[in-house]
Amino acid sequence: MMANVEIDTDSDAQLRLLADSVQAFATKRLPLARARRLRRENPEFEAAMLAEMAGQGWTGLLIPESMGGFGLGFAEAAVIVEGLSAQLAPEPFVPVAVLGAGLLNAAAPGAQRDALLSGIADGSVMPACAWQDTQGGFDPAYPAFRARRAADGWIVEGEARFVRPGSGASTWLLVARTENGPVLFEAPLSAAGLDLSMEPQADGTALARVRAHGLCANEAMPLGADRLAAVLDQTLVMNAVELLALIRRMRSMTLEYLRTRVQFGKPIGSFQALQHRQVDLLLQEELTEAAVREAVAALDAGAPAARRTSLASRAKARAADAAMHTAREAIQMHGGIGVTDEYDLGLYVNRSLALAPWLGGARLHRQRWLALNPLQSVTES
Amino acid sequence: MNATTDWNALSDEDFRLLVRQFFREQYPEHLRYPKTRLRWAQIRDWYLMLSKKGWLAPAWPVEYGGMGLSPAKLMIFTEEGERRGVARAPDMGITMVGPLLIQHGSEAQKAYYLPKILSGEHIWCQGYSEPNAGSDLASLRTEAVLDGEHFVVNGQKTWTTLAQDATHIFLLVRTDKSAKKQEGISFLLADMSTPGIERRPIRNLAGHEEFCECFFHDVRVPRENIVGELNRGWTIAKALLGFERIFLGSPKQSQYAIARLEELIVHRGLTADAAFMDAYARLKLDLLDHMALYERFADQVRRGETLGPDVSMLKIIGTENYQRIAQLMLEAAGSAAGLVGDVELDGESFDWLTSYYNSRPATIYGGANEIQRNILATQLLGLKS
Ligand SMILES: Cc1cc2nc3c(=O)[nH]c(=O)nc-3n(C[C@H](O)[C@H](O)[C@H](O)COP(=O)(O)OP(=O)(O)OC[C@H]3O[C@@H](n4cnc5c(N)ncnc54)[C@H](O)[C@@H]3O)c2cc1C
Repeated sequence: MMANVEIDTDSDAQLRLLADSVQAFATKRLPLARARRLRRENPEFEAAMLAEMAGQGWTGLLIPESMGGFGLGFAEAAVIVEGLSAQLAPEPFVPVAVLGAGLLNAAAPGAQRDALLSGIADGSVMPACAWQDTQGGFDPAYPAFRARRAADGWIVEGEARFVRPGSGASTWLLVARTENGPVLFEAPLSAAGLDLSMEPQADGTALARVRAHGLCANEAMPLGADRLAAVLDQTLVMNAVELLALIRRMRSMTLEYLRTRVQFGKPIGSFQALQHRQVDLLLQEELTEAAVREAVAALDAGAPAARRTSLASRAKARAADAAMHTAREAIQMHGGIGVTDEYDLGLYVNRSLALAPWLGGARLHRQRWLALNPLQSVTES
Repeated sequence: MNATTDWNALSDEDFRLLVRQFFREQYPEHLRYPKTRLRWAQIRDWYLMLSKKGWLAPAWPVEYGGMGLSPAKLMIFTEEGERRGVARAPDMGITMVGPLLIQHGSEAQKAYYLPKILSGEHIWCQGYSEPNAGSDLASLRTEAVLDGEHFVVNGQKTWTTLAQDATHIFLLVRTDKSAKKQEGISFLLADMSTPGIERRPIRNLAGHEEFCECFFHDVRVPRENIVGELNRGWTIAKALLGFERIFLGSPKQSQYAIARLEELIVHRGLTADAAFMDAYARLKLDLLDHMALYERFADQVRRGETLGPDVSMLKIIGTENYQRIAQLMLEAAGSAAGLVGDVELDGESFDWLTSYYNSRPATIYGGANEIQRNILATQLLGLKS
């Protein structure tokens, strides 16, 4: 760390403690065999496990204490997200505890909102939040649904895609545009006027595609447009943390393989052609970690919107590209075993294929960054 | 026209039209451009139809039941198949075992095996790689020990493509442990139903059972199943690489993939995205230049010349270009890139992950690209390792 940065040793120690407990939990409760077993199940995660994570206080981490949470920050959330992602836990932690909790935090207080929030904190509520349209763009100003007032409530129309978790959620949260800005609706899973289909992903999870046609909702939870944008950025950063964990694992598995796999009478890691490529993976990992760390710190510091968004997109672009690059190189350096399903590397490769495009891939986020940082102000972020 | 037609007497143009028409009329629509290697049950009818027509082994001499095509005609035959999206049948018998026996086999071996390959009675798989002998193939350990009239084979082969459908396997085995690595290896043919052979399918990343592990436990293989001389299998195996090596560097996979990419680009309106179009143009030009380079080698083949170590260039360029195309397809798919199978995008469906999955092992099998680069560095550039 740089000498002129003040180190908050107190919170550093706390983060280490948290990391230790996540690690202990993951080792004991989240072996890779579990991730392997649960893929392609419907749902592909265990609600009981998410409840157990709630018991650890994790799902309520970002929720205020008044609502049964802990009111902690993104540095802490990142530690948990990384620990779970490293073990490929299929539980939708980021979608529920970051996006779901974030949207509700951002909504105007009210009985419905407060109940949902404390439900997430205690593990009884697992919302699936639908906001992204079928094109897969990333524009908080245009959530997928539109809502208009009706006699005794609202009518919601539109179609959202790429919703995590696809199945196994306890309720729907739909983000909709109204004349007075974005609002949040809760809809039960079986609501009339909601059509649902599942789209399977490379890692054996599924994304939901949700169509609302004439869906009646009685209560709308107003969301500030800027607050919605902030929550989406936060989710993006935590998605980058998930990818960072995958990058670390794929690279360390590959390093281990280079050390132990013998061909031509020596470990293949002794061939310079592979050494340099492994070094390149290290460089990408370090760049990702640096970009992600800066973005997480900006979230906790409440950075202004433009900087926050710049950093979120920058972290996502780096993490998505680095994950895809690491996956490709890891396969190649493993040779035949790298393309088999029985070897654990494949689980990480397939998870990368699923997580890198979520909320937009690297290309989209480089463009989003560029829009905020045109050439003349390129040094700013 | 019958089996004795002299195809080489036709003009290239006439021959091309004839082949094109045949593939267009006879090759089943639903098997065109399959996403994965077809299993025997799926491709059997087509195989037998080619067999009946006498078109199964275009490269074999006429006296062995082949078409006896000249290299130039053979290129045309292959190109037209690719044009139509004709799937690879289980062709190891046709492309490897047949030519091998014709060159190095005994009369008895030729008389017994060749007709059964042509009739579809024997389906072959390739048993070279082992768990500890991949890139370093010469370190293979599966051993065959002579015991009277039989070799007794013990060991394990792996990554054996479609061994689950094969009736026979051709093997590189160690027959002399004391000799230098390359000099104690022999080439054996084995019937997969021999007691002691066990196969276990292995799933690939995309979830398909593409290859197998094959275990050999005291497998008794008749002594006469050796091809060529004892301990001279390595030379034979290397000679086999001859003509086939150009196919590993064929642009066909890239051509197919880039056509899919182009559909996706148009459909998603990416033509207006200058940066994306630059990335696309780069790959398209890579492909066109690869095709031009391929032609140089194809000309060599047409003239009947043998290919040198420089053909490794084609494999590197072709497979890596294919991978970049598949990667750009994921980028074109955006947020939908992680979805498997036929994915609906605005009323049309696209499948990009299959290209991605298929492109990954292309730089590994048939001699990994790192090994191809080593060959070029040492044999072409004269750099010492
Ligand atoms: C889809 C598929 C189908 C296959 N089908 C068959 C089949 O039908 N029959 C059969 O016999 N085999 C088959 N193979 C096996 C294939 O030939 C081997 O996978 C290949 O030779 C690589 O060997 P390996 O997997 O053991 O990798 P390794 O040799 O362990 O190599 C691992 C990594 O190290 C690199 N490396 C190794 N040596 C060097 C070096 N000297 N310098 C630099 N880098 C090096 C490799 O390039 C690779 O990236 C198939 C493989 C695949 C993936």
